[in-house]
Amino acid sequence: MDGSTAQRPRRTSSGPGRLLVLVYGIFALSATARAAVQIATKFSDAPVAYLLSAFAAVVYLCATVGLARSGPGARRLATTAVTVELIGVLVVGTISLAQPDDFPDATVWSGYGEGYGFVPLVLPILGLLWLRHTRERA
Amino acid sequence: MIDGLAYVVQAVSVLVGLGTIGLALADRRPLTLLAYGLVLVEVAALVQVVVAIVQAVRGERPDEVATFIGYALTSLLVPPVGALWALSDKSKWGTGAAGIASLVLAVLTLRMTQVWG
Repeated sequence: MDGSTAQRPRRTSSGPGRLLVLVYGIFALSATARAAVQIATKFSDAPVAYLLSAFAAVVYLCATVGLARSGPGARRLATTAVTVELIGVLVVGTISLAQPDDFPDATVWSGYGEGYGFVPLVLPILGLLWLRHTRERA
Repeated sequence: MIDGLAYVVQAVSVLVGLGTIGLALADRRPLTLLAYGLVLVEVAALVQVVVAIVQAVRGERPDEVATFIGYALTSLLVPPVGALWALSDKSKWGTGAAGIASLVLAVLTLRMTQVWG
Protein backbone atom coordinates (compact mmCIF):
# COMPACT_ATOMS: atom_id res chain seq x y z
CA MET A 1 0.00 0.00 0.00
CA ASP A 2 2.98 2.33 0.38
CA GLY A 3 3.64 2.22 -3.34
CA SER A 4 6.62 -0.12 -3.32
CA THR A 5 6.44 -2.45 -6.32
CA ALA A 6 6.77 -5.61 -4.25
CA GLN A 7 3.47 -4.95 -2.52
CA ARG A 8 1.42 -3.77 -5.46
CA PRO A 9 -1.09 -6.26 -6.85
CA ARG A 10 0.05 -7.91 -10.07
CA ARG A 11 -1.88 -7.38 -13.25
CA THR A 12 -4.51 -10.07 -13.75
CA SER A 13 -4.09 -9.94 -17.53
CA SER A 14 -0.43 -10.93 -17.86
CA GLY A 15 1.27 -14.29 -17.54
CA PRO A 16 -1.23 -17.13 -17.09
CA GLY A 17 -3.87 -14.39 -16.99
CA ARG A 18 -3.50 -14.06 -20.78
CA LEU A 19 -4.86 -17.58 -21.17
CA LEU A 20 -7.59 -17.07 -18.59
CA VAL A 21 -8.86 -13.82 -20.15
CA LEU A 22 -8.82 -15.43 -23.61
CA VAL A 23 -10.97 -18.34 -22.42
CA TYR A 24 -13.31 -15.96 -20.55
CA GLY A 25 -13.57 -13.82 -23.68
CA ILE A 26 -14.50 -16.82 -25.82
CA PHE A 27 -17.16 -17.83 -23.28
CA ALA A 28 -18.46 -14.26 -23.15
CA LEU A 29 -18.71 -14.14 -26.94
CA SER A 30 -20.35 -17.53 -27.39
CA ALA A 31 -22.69 -17.17 -24.39
CA THR A 32 -23.85 -13.76 -25.68
CA ALA A 33 -24.42 -15.12 -29.20
CA ARG A 34 -26.23 -18.17 -27.88
CA ALA A 35 -28.49 -16.18 -25.53
CA ALA A 36 -29.28 -13.66 -28.28
CA VAL A 37 -30.30 -16.45 -30.67
CA GLN A 38 -32.38 -18.24 -28.02
CA ILE A 39 -34.23 -15.10 -26.94
CA ALA A 40 -34.76 -13.83 -30.50
CA THR A 41 -35.98 -17.09 -32.05
CA LYS A 42 -37.67 -19.26 -29.42
CA PHE A 43 -38.00 -17.31 -26.19
CA SER A 44 -41.42 -18.76 -25.25
CA ASP A 45 -40.09 -22.36 -25.35
CA ALA A 46 -38.06 -21.99 -22.16
CA PRO A 47 -38.02 -18.40 -20.89
CA VAL A 48 -36.30 -19.22 -17.59
CA ALA A 49 -33.47 -21.15 -19.24
CA TYR A 50 -32.94 -18.43 -21.86
CA LEU A 51 -32.97 -15.59 -19.34
CA LEU A 52 -30.41 -17.59 -17.39
CA SER A 53 -28.33 -17.90 -20.56
CA ALA A 54 -28.43 -14.12 -20.91
CA PHE A 55 -27.48 -13.69 -17.26
CA ALA A 56 -24.54 -16.08 -17.70
CA ALA A 57 -23.45 -14.09 -20.75
CA VAL A 58 -23.42 -10.86 -18.69
CA VAL A 59 -21.43 -12.60 -15.93
CA TYR A 60 -18.81 -13.82 -18.46
CA LEU A 61 -18.59 -10.35 -20.01
CA CYS A 62 -18.02 -8.72 -16.58
CA ALA A 63 -15.42 -11.34 -15.64
CA THR A 64 -13.57 -10.83 -18.96
CA VAL A 65 -13.50 -7.04 -18.62
CA GLY A 66 -12.58 -7.20 -14.93
CA LEU A 67 -9.70 -9.60 -15.51
CA ALA A 68 -8.44 -7.85 -18.65
CA ARG A 69 -8.21 -4.42 -17.02
CA SER A 70 -6.14 -3.43 -14.04
CA GLY A 71 -6.96 -1.41 -10.95
CA PRO A 72 -9.01 -1.98 -7.81
CA GLY A 73 -12.35 -1.38 -9.56
CA ALA A 74 -11.58 -3.97 -12.22
CA ARG A 75 -10.43 -6.43 -9.56
CA ARG A 76 -13.68 -5.98 -7.61
CA LEU A 77 -15.71 -6.47 -10.79
CA ALA A 78 -13.75 -9.63 -11.65
CA THR A 79 -14.02 -11.04 -8.11
CA THR A 80 -17.78 -10.43 -7.99
CA ALA A 81 -18.39 -11.84 -11.48
CA VAL A 82 -16.27 -14.95 -10.94
CA THR A 83 -17.89 -15.62 -7.53
CA VAL A 84 -21.39 -15.26 -9.07
CA GLU A 85 -20.23 -17.57 -11.86
CA LEU A 86 -19.12 -20.26 -9.41
CA ILE A 87 -22.38 -20.03 -7.45
CA GLY A 88 -24.31 -20.03 -10.73
CA VAL A 89 -22.70 -23.14 -12.13
CA LEU A 90 -23.09 -25.01 -8.80
CA VAL A 91 -26.74 -24.00 -8.24
CA VAL A 92 -27.89 -24.36 -11.86
CA GLY A 93 -25.87 -27.56 -12.27
CA THR A 94 -27.48 -29.11 -9.19
CA ILE A 95 -31.04 -27.98 -10.07
CA SER A 96 -30.67 -29.12 -13.68
CA LEU A 97 -29.76 -32.63 -12.49
CA ALA A 98 -32.27 -32.79 -9.61
CA GLN A 99 -35.20 -31.15 -11.46
CA PRO A 100 -34.56 -31.58 -15.19
CA ASP A 101 -38.13 -30.42 -15.93
CA ASP A 102 -37.23 -26.90 -14.82
CA PHE A 103 -34.65 -26.73 -17.62
CA PRO A 104 -36.30 -27.88 -20.83
CA ASP A 105 -33.39 -26.46 -22.82
CA ALA A 106 -29.74 -26.35 -21.90
CA THR A 107 -27.85 -23.37 -20.52
CA VAL A 108 -24.08 -23.02 -20.26
CA TRP A 109 -24.31 -24.11 -16.62
CA SER A 110 -26.64 -27.13 -17.03
CA GLY A 111 -25.11 -30.33 -15.64
CA TYR A 112 -22.19 -28.31 -14.25
CA GLY A 113 -21.25 -27.30 -17.80
CA GLU A 114 -20.99 -30.84 -19.16
CA GLY A 115 -22.01 -29.57 -22.61
CA TYR A 116 -18.82 -27.51 -22.63
CA GLY A 117 -16.40 -30.11 -21.32
CA PHE A 118 -16.95 -28.92 -17.71
CA VAL A 119 -14.91 -25.81 -18.54
CA PRO A 120 -17.67 -23.64 -16.95
CA LEU A 121 -17.07 -25.48 -13.65
CA VAL A 122 -13.26 -25.29 -13.74
CA LEU A 123 -13.04 -21.70 -15.01
CA PRO A 124 -14.39 -19.86 -11.91
CA ILE A 125 -12.18 -21.96 -9.62
CA LEU A 126 -9.11 -21.03 -11.69
CA GLY A 127 -10.35 -17.43 -11.80
CA LEU A 128 -10.64 -17.14 -8.01
CA LEU A 129 -7.25 -18.81 -7.49
CA TRP A 130 -5.70 -16.43 -10.00
CA LEU A 131 -7.29 -13.34 -8.39
CA ARG A 132 -6.00 -14.53 -5.02
CA HIS A 133 -2.55 -15.23 -6.41
CA THR A 134 -2.22 -11.76 -7.97
CA ARG A 135 -3.64 -9.67 -5.16
CA GLU A 136 -1.40 -7.39 -3.10
CA ARG A 137 0.66 -9.11 -0.46
CA ALA A 138 -0.09 -7.85 3.05
CA MET B 1 -21.29 -27.47 -44.96
CA ILE B 2 -18.97 -29.95 -46.65
CA ASP B 3 -17.74 -32.61 -44.24
CA GLY B 4 -14.37 -33.01 -45.98
CA LEU B 5 -13.70 -29.27 -45.77
CA ALA B 6 -14.72 -29.22 -42.09
CA TYR B 7 -12.18 -31.99 -41.37
CA VAL B 8 -9.45 -30.01 -43.16
CA VAL B 9 -10.33 -26.87 -41.16
CA GLN B 10 -10.25 -28.87 -37.93
CA ALA B 11 -6.92 -30.49 -38.89
CA VAL B 12 -5.38 -27.07 -39.65
CA SER B 13 -6.68 -25.62 -36.39
CA VAL B 14 -5.50 -28.58 -34.28
CA LEU B 15 -2.06 -28.77 -35.95
CA VAL B 16 -1.42 -25.03 -35.65
CA GLY B 17 -2.85 -25.03 -32.11
CA LEU B 18 -0.76 -27.94 -30.83
CA GLY B 19 2.35 -26.65 -32.63
CA THR B 20 1.88 -23.24 -31.02
CA ILE B 21 1.34 -24.77 -27.58
CA GLY B 22 4.50 -26.82 -28.17
CA LEU B 23 6.42 -23.59 -28.84
CA ALA B 24 4.93 -22.11 -25.65
CA LEU B 25 6.09 -25.12 -23.61
CA ALA B 26 9.56 -24.72 -25.14
CA ASP B 27 9.37 -21.04 -24.02
CA ARG B 28 9.76 -19.85 -27.61
CA ARG B 29 7.98 -16.91 -29.21
CA PRO B 30 8.76 -16.81 -32.95
CA LEU B 31 6.38 -13.97 -33.85
CA THR B 32 6.45 -14.35 -37.64
CA LEU B 33 5.77 -18.09 -37.47
CA LEU B 34 2.96 -17.57 -34.95
CA ALA B 35 1.40 -14.86 -37.11
CA TYR B 36 1.54 -17.12 -40.22
CA GLY B 37 -0.06 -19.93 -38.23
CA LEU B 38 -2.97 -17.76 -37.10
CA VAL B 39 -3.41 -16.27 -40.58
CA LEU B 40 -3.65 -19.85 -41.91
CA VAL B 41 -6.30 -20.65 -39.29
CA GLU B 42 -8.26 -17.48 -40.17
CA VAL B 43 -8.10 -18.31 -43.90
CA ALA B 44 -9.43 -21.81 -43.15
CA ALA B 45 -12.30 -20.29 -41.14
CA LEU B 46 -13.02 -17.79 -43.93
CA VAL B 47 -13.07 -20.46 -46.69
CA GLN B 48 -15.48 -22.51 -44.62
CA VAL B 49 -17.87 -19.59 -44.03
CA VAL B 50 -17.73 -18.50 -47.71
CA VAL B 51 -18.53 -22.07 -48.84
CA ALA B 52 -21.46 -22.17 -46.37
CA ILE B 53 -22.76 -18.84 -47.77
CA VAL B 54 -22.51 -20.21 -51.35
CA GLN B 55 -24.42 -23.32 -50.26
CA ALA B 56 -27.06 -21.17 -48.55
CA VAL B 57 -27.50 -19.07 -51.72
CA ARG B 58 -27.99 -22.30 -53.70
CA GLY B 59 -30.77 -23.31 -51.31
CA GLU B 60 -29.02 -25.61 -48.82
CA ARG B 61 -29.81 -24.11 -45.44
CA PRO B 62 -28.62 -25.08 -41.97
CA ASP B 63 -31.27 -26.58 -39.66
CA GLU B 64 -30.76 -23.78 -37.14
CA VAL B 65 -29.97 -20.71 -39.23
CA ALA B 66 -29.53 -18.14 -36.45
CA THR B 67 -27.33 -20.40 -34.33
CA PHE B 68 -25.21 -21.26 -37.36
CA ILE B 69 -24.69 -17.57 -38.16
CA GLY B 70 -23.65 -17.00 -34.52
CA TYR B 71 -21.02 -19.74 -34.71
CA ALA B 72 -19.86 -18.64 -38.16
CA LEU B 73 -19.27 -15.05 -36.97
CA THR B 74 -17.53 -16.33 -33.84
CA SER B 75 -15.26 -18.56 -35.97
CA LEU B 76 -14.18 -15.51 -38.00
CA LEU B 77 -13.61 -13.35 -34.90
CA VAL B 78 -11.70 -15.72 -32.63
CA PRO B 79 -8.44 -16.12 -34.64
CA PRO B 80 -7.70 -12.39 -35.25
CA VAL B 81 -8.96 -11.07 -31.89
CA GLY B 82 -7.34 -14.01 -30.06
CA ALA B 83 -4.08 -13.38 -31.95
CA LEU B 84 -4.01 -9.67 -31.04
CA TRP B 85 -4.75 -10.44 -27.40
CA ALA B 86 -2.30 -13.36 -27.23
CA LEU B 87 0.65 -11.80 -29.03
CA SER B 88 0.50 -8.51 -27.14
CA ASP B 89 1.80 -10.50 -24.15
CA LYS B 90 5.54 -11.03 -24.36
CA SER B 91 5.75 -14.30 -22.46
CA LYS B 92 5.21 -17.97 -23.20
CA TRP B 93 1.67 -17.50 -21.89
CA GLY B 94 0.90 -15.24 -24.84
CA THR B 95 2.13 -17.98 -27.19
CA GLY B 96 -0.02 -20.49 -25.32
CA ALA B 97 -3.07 -18.24 -25.65
CA ALA B 98 -2.49 -18.09 -29.42
CA GLY B 99 -2.51 -21.90 -29.42
CA ILE B 100 -5.82 -22.02 -27.53
CA ALA B 101 -7.36 -19.46 -29.92
CA SER B 102 -6.39 -21.76 -32.78
CA LEU B 103 -7.80 -24.90 -31.11
CA VAL B 104 -11.11 -23.13 -30.47
CA LEU B 105 -11.76 -23.04 -34.23
CA ALA B 106 -11.82 -26.86 -34.25
CA VAL B 107 -14.54 -26.84 -31.56
CA LEU B 108 -16.53 -24.11 -33.35
CA THR B 109 -16.28 -26.08 -36.61
CA LEU B 110 -17.63 -29.17 -34.86
CA ARG B 111 -20.58 -27.17 -33.53
CA MET B 112 -21.19 -25.63 -36.96
CA THR B 113 -21.34 -29.12 -38.50
CA GLN B 114 -23.82 -30.25 -35.81
CA VAL B 115 -26.03 -27.18 -36.20
CA TRP B 116 -26.01 -27.48 -40.02
CA GLY B 117 -27.76 -30.84 -39.62
